[in-house]
Amino acid sequence: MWDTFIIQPMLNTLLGIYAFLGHNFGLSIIIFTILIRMITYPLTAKQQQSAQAMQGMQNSKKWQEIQKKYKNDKEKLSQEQMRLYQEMGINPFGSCLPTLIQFPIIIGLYQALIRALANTPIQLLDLSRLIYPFFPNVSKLVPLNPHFLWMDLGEPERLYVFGFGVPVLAILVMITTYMQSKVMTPPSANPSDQSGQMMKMMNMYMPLMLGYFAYTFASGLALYFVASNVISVIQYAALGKVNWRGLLPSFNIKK
Amino acid sequence: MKYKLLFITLLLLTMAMTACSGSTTPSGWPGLSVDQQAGTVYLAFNTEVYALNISDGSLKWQFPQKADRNLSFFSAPALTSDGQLIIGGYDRKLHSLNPKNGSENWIFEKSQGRFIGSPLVTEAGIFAPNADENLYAMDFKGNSLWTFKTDQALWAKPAIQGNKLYMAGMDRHLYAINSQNGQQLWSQELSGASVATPTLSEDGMIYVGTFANELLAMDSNSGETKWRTPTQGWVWSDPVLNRDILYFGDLSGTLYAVDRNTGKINWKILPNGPIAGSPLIIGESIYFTTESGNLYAVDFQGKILWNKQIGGKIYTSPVEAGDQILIAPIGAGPLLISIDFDGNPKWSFTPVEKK
Repeated sequence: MWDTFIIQPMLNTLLGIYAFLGHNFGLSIIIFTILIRMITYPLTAKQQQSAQAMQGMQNSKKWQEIQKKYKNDKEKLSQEQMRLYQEMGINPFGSCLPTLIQFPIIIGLYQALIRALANTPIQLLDLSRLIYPFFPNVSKLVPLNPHFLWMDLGEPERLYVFGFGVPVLAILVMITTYMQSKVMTPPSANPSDQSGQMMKMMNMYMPLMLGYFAYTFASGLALYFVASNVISVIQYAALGKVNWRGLLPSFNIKK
Repeated sequence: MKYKLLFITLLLLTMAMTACSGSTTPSGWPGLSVDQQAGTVYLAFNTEVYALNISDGSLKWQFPQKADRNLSFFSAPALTSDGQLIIGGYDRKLHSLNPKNGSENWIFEKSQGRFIGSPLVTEAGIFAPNADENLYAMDFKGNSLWTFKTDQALWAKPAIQGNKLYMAGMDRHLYAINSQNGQQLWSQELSGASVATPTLSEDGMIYVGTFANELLAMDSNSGETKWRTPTQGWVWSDPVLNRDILYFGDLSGTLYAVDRNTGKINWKILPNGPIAGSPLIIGESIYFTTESGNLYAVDFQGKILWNKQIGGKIYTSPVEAGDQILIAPIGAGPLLISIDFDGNPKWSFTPVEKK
C-alpha cells in the first residue's frame, strides 16, 4: 500500500523530472521539492493562518488578563484557553496537523530517493519493479547518475578540505531551518510564557534534528531540506508576511 | 498540550528515520566459489566470509572471527595460484586472506566505492571492478598496476581472453582493455547498463545481456554488434554457452535458449519467478534457480525434468561441487544448501551467531 500510493508515484515522478532535466538528479530533487511545496501549499497556508491566529490570541489583552487572573490555577487557565479558542474560532490543532502530514512526505521522499539511486543489488532489483511499465526509455536512465556538484546523492555528504570531511550540507540545513523558523514566527508579545518557551525549544530542536539527519543520511535528503526551507521562506515572503527582524535577537520585544 | 504532541511526534520521527536507515534487509546476495582440490567452499554473505567443508558443510573458518558491522561481503571470493583468497567488501577495500585459516594477508585501499562484483584473477594479476567507476589492476601483493576509468559504477566481473579484458559497465558500454597496461582497445555502446560478465566463445564472439531487455553478440576484435535478441526483462547474469546455444534467464522469469550464430530464440520457458543467476549445465541437464526459491532442472529442449522448493529467495547462480549442486538462498534459514543431481538434499549450512 505504502509502496503503491506513496513510493511509486514519488519515485516515478523523480525519474520523469530526471529524464527531462538531462540526467541531473540534484536538480531533479530541487524541482521535486518545489512540486511538493506547491501541492501541499493549501495545508501549509492553513498551518500559517492557524499559527498567526494563535499568536494573535496570545498577544491579545484579553488572554493576558486571563493569564494574570488564573496564574495559580492551571486547570482553570487551560479551561479559559479552550473557551477563548472557541470564541475566536481557533482550532488548537490547526497548526500541528499539517506539520504531521509533512512527516510521511519526508519519509516517503527519502525512501523514493534511496530506491531510485539503487546503490546495491537488492535495491536495483527492487527498482526494476517500482518503475511503471509504461515509463519510456528506462534503459537510458537506469542506473541514475548520483553525482551533483561535489556530492554523491546516495551517500552522506562531506566536502574534503585538507583531509577533513566537512558536512557542508548538514551545516546549511541547520542554518536554513533555524532561519526559516525565525523569519516565519511572528514576534511574540510575551516570550516568557509557556507556549513561547515551547516555540523556542522547537526552534532549537528542529535544526539540530534535521542537521543530524543531513549528517547521517544520504545527501539527497539534505538537499531536499535546504531546498524546502528556502522555498518556504520565498513562499512566505511573497505573501509579505516574513518577519525578517526575527533573525536578530535584539529585536524581540521584551517586557 | 499540542506542543507536547508535536514534540513526541518529532522524537518518533527521529527514531523512525534512524531505524529506516539501519535496515535489516541484506544489500546483496551471497557470493559462492569452490576449490575442489582443497575440498573447500567459500561463501561470502553479509558480515562474514565462510570457508566450509565441501563434503558436509561444516565450518572451517570465518572472516572476521567476530562480525564487524562495518564489513560486509556479497561477491564470490577468488583464488590466486599462489594461495590467496581475494574478496572485495562493501567497506570499499579488497582483502587478501589465507584460504587455510582466514587470516588477512593484505588490504587494497585505493578504491572509493564498494566492491559489488567479484574480482577476476589470472596469472597476470588481480582485476577488481569497483562501484567508484574504476577497474583496478594489481599484483599479488596488492600493489596497483593500473586503473581503468569508466563513467558509472562497475558491478560486473570482467572476462579475459589472451591479453584482452572485456568489461561491461553500468555506463552502458562494453570495454575491451589491454590487460597488461590498462589501455582501452575499443568501447562499444550498449543500449542499457550491464552487470554481467561477458561470455566469450573460442571463435572471437562476445555475448552480453543488458537492462535494455536484450542479449547482444559482438565481435571481440572490433566491438561490432552482430545481432541483438530482445528479452522480456532485464538480463542480469552472463549466459552459459553450450554446443553453440546460449542459455540464460532474465528478471521477467524467462529462461532462454538462443542460437549463438543467429540470435534466434530456439525456445523459452517461464517457470516461476525472476532469474538473476546464470544456469548451470551438468551432463544433459540445465539447472537454474529463481527468486521464488526453486531449483529447476530442464533438458536441452526446455522440458522441465523436476523442480525443488529450496526456500527463501535465490539470486546467486548455482555452483557445481563434485557430485552436488550448491545453492545459496537468502531468507531461507540455511545460507548454503547442497543438492544432488536428482534434486535430493545432502547437507546444509546455517551459521551460528557468535557473541
